[in-house]
Amino acid sequence: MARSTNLWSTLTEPLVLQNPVTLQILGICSALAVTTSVATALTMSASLTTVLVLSAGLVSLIRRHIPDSIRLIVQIVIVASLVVVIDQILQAYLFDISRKLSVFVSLITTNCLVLGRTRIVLALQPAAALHGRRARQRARLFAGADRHRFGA
Amino acid sequence: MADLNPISAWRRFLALPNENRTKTVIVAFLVSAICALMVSGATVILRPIQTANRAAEEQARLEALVAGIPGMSEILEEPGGSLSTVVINLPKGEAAQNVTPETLPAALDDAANWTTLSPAEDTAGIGRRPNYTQIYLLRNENGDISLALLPVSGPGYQAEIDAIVALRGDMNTIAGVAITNQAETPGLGGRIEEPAWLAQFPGTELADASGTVRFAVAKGLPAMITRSTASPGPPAPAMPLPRSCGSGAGRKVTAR
Repeated sequence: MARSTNLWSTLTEPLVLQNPVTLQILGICSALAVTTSVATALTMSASLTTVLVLSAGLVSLIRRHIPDSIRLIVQIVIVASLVVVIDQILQAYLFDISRKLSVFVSLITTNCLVLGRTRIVLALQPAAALHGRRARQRARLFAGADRHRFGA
Repeated sequence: MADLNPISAWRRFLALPNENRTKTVIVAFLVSAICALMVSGATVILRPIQTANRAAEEQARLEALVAGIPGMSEILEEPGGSLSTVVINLPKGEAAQNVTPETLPAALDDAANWTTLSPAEDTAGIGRRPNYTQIYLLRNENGDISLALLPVSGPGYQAEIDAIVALRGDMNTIAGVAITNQAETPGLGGRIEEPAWLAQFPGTELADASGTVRFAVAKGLPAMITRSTASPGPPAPAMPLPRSCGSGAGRKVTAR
């Protein structure tokens, strides 16, 4: 029972209590730009979620073997390649919407939510990577630190 | 004796400490190689679909341009009215003999069919222009040209801006302008696609009564719409339109 409550709060907390856009004020640049219509907002959130999940998955696969000196570059190369692939797919199959989204799909690369999440995956122990208040606090710290490096 | 078994070599590589320089270089190389494969694979596989999408969009803009000009859809609906495509040989200034609209893409893949422009000729700053381009002519039932659609291109801040200028049958009055291809910043230079901006052009005359062409090209077209700090260059010398694939989409009508 306790476990299901935990899973439920894991699912709902980022939506309401810990909403990255409205409460953590992260990633609002693209969020403000694409929420002018439902179609673009849904496409963008699907793209962002895909990139987030795939990049976190790929980084976690090679997590133990990434040298610390090239950590950020490896992270960005993986995220950027995924973004290019998503952008190409959108231009091929959802041409009108990709016209409306324009540069903001490419800007997923520097979205601090994606970078923050891949950073947590890299830094934390497997069990703790996806749970807990401490992980989220570190995510914010990391995202903030990485964001300062880009000035984004 | 050195162990040449690739599996054990791979295991030894993984067992190296992460700070090891060889491991750093190999990890960097592998990550870049796999990502390059992913990106180029997606680009190559999806390119035919994207090209078809762009062609369909250009066709739709062309049709919207013709439909938006008063009186033109009636001509299209008349029995003799039709929109015909003609490939023009730009150096000769006449209809091309051996290139048809179907073979045009193949002809443009050949570098021999492109001319590099000298700085004096290149008033629009596009560097080179194709020797062949296709124009569209709308004729009424008597066979007279009532509308000519001519492609023009000019430099943008991000990529070349391509547009179609529609001229009325007198070959002097602009009936409309449509932007077919641009990659300007959305909300700033990208606003050249907005109807309000394009609505400035219809009715403008290319040449005044003495025949002097006054539809000149202004460099820095996006700057004109954004009022940004980048100053538009001086209006370039005007060029006669039918041969001017190298003219820009900007309007700078000098008061005479």
